[in-house]
Amino acid sequence: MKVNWKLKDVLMIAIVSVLFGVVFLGATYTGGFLSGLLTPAGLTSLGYEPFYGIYFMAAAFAAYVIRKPGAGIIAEMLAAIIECLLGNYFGPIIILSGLVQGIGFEIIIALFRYKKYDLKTMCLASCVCSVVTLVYNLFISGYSQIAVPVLLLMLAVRLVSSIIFTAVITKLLADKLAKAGVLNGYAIGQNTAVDLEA
Amino acid sequence: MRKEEFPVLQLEHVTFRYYENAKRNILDDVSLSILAGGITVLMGSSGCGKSTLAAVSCGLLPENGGYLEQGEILLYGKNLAEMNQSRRAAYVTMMFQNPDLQFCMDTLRKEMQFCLENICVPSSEMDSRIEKAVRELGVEELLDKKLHSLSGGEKQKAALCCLYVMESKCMILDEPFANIDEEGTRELIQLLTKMKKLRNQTIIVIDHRMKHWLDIVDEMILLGEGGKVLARGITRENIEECYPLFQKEGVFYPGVCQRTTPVRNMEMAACHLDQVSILVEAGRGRWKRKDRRRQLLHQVNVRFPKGAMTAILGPSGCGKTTLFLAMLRQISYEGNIQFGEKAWTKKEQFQHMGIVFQNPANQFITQNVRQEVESSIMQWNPGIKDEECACLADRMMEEYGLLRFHRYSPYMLSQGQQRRLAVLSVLAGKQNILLLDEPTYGQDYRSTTAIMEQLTEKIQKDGLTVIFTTHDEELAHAWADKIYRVQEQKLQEEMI
Amino acid sequence: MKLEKLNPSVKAATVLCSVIMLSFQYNITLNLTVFFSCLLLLLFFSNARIKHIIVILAPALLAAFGMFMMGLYYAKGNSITSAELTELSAVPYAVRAAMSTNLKSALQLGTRILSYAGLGILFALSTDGEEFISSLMHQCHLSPKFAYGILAAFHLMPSMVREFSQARLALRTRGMHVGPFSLKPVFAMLVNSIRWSESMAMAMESKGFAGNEPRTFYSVTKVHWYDLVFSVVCIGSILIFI
Repeated sequence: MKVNWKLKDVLMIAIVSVLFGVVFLGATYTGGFLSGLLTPAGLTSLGYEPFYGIYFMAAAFAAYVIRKPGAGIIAEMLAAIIECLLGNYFGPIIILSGLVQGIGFEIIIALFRYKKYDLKTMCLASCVCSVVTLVYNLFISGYSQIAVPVLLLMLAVRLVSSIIFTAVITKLLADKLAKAGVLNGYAIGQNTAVDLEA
Repeated sequence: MRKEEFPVLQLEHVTFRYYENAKRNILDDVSLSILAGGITVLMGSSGCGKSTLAAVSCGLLPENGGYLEQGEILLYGKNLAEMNQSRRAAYVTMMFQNPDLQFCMDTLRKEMQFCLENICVPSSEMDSRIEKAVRELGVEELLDKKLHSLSGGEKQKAALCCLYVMESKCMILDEPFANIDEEGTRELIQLLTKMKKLRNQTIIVIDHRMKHWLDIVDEMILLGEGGKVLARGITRENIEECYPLFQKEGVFYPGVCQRTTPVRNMEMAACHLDQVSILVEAGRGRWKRKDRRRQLLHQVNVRFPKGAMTAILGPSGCGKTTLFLAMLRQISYEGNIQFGEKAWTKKEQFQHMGIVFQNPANQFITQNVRQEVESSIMQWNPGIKDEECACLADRMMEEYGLLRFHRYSPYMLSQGQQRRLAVLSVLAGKQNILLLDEPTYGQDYRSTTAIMEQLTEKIQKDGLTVIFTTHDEELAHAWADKIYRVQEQKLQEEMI
Repeated sequence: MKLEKLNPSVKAATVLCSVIMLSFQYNITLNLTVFFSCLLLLLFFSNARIKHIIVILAPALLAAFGMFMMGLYYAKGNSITSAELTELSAVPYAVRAAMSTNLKSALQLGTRILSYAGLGILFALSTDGEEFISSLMHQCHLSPKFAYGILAAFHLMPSMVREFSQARLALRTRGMHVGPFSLKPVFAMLVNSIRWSESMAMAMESKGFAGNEPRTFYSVTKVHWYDLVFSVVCIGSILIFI
């Protein structure tokens, strides 16, 4: 777990976490609206599920770009602390959730010994993360009280969301960044640094 | 004049490049030594490796990227590689050109505390040192303001203050005026003169404009491709001998910005501003949503001539960029902004108006330079043939000196090159009105002239209307047909 | 004695412990007691303004109400067929819900969110962000590299918001359609972020920041006896309740 983090890596992860927060969590207002609509049907929490994958993006981006053990967990923790600074009404509980999310994502990456980063691995990691966080919700949010079919529905939406946001979109963005030569200082861009001058 | 004659900074055969397998060395076997005391200015064209040289001298590179193939850097005779950051900071500290990216705390006081903590100053001494520094530099009023609410000039002053409080023996300033206006520049120069007098610190400046420095500089050094020293020992007295060399290298020198084209007197207006007032929200805190609104412009009546170039001058934060946003209907305003006879819809507006922002990296849409230009040509000339398009793109890139980079990703270009590409890709369209926010900031003389000449040609050929903001009064006077200055919430016309 | 005086790390740990204890309980009275005690503490022992409490509490109440409704309709034991699931019309459920015995589960779930939110805002509204980070450094051994990295990114937010709206505008002026989920401006911002992180790192290091080297501190957050008293009282009273 002991990895030498450079200051610019830490800053990169922190800034990207804030960015995902600013950019995408603005979009979760849509989620708030959606859950408002679903409240009369008793499916409020379901309204947030389509955007759940956004919460894992910081972990996925860091793990994918930096490719070192702990990158995902640390990124998610950083994101959580920043969200806590922003004055989220769950306060420090967010940090606990961040830890669970980070671990959830990194399980699969670690199983592949931090060597495989293709789309399949990313999807698998995102799915495991969804399952792990739902299990966490079972205890902490009392979802264990909820009927199984509804839980399954929630899990399904969360899985789809995490595959779209956490796996596909994150990988897409990171690959494009690497191709644009912006990530040459990181593990992901190590092989793309070519001399293009014609 | 210098009192001491020992070298502060010595670079010995330094060769540095950004990637180990890159063919081009940014610094190519550079040897340079800078003597203690006084102000030394390093000049050179954009992309000659000035900034890299500064970062390598402070040990920030290759620490943060890049590959140092050979060479040694000595600070006060001690090897830089053998010191940690904290020790290095006792000898040399650095200030950067982007005032937004220099602080990790939110007020100057906290930032200065952070600086002193870094160099292990006991906490009991911190307050007195901070008080003393701000008093000596006369910036007390900045101490507890939120840094993000300060103007560019004030931020740079704050940054200087941080270096000052650390009392390092030598300071390197990397284009400290790139982002600030003339007024701010003058104030900073005063500050530096004060610092030099109070402490006899060694100040090394990197800049490609010498006009601000002429009065206070002790020595100027001209750097060429690869960071090679072309000439040194340049002072106010012997500067004229070097003009041919400056010209060849494409750096600014006094009096180089001369008007070459006659002023166009255009009757038609491309854009009317009728009683325009702009209010913006100031200081949007986390909770505060109060009506603390700031008036930027008040009942402005202006016409921008069609087929001509208009410059807007004014201090930073006075509302130049905001005016552009209003013209593009991105923020609310009172009054009337009219283009020609009929009103444009928002979509039409973007077809007729182009804008180049201060940060050009925001507006690239493709993955390499050629595609960037071609996609613009395609977009605005539907049905153009592929070969024709490629041919046109080649010609345009050639004109802008970007052809050799045509396979590069736009993001790998230097700041100056990015800006040229942004202008180029906007000009590839069929826009009638082009808004440029600080089009020449951070550009050397050669690139500045290239951009301005391109615009002038486009104006003559296609009747383009150009409106640009700038801090550079010389530039405005040399190229614009009409100059407005933002003053007391009005746009005042200025004689050319 | 104000809540602001308490050590942020101890406060955070107390909140976390309480949450974990509460997560094993399904006690409506306990949940409500925790929620209202937190509100009272905030009102009388902190500088938090009522307006802020209301602003931050509104979404929390909504979430709690949502959980309540969910519990009402879909708590365990209330057999739902998949046919019913697909037909999400509110009326028949509402009728049934009123008569069901799910009210208790619903209250358990809803009040649980309330108690979490109470503890959360107790922390959020009485804690200064920088002090929290400083305390994480001194009490929880967070490395200064991470601490100041977080602060730097956090303070960059105003620039980030401004730059993001500029990026969207810049792309629109080039004839691109930019919707709320468009990736182009996000991509541009990621490019900026990576550039910024390099510039910021260089700026901080040029001022002598090393991250791992020893440094002094302007102020050091400490744990006092009253921090421990607060912690013990909070956790103790929940334990007694259980």
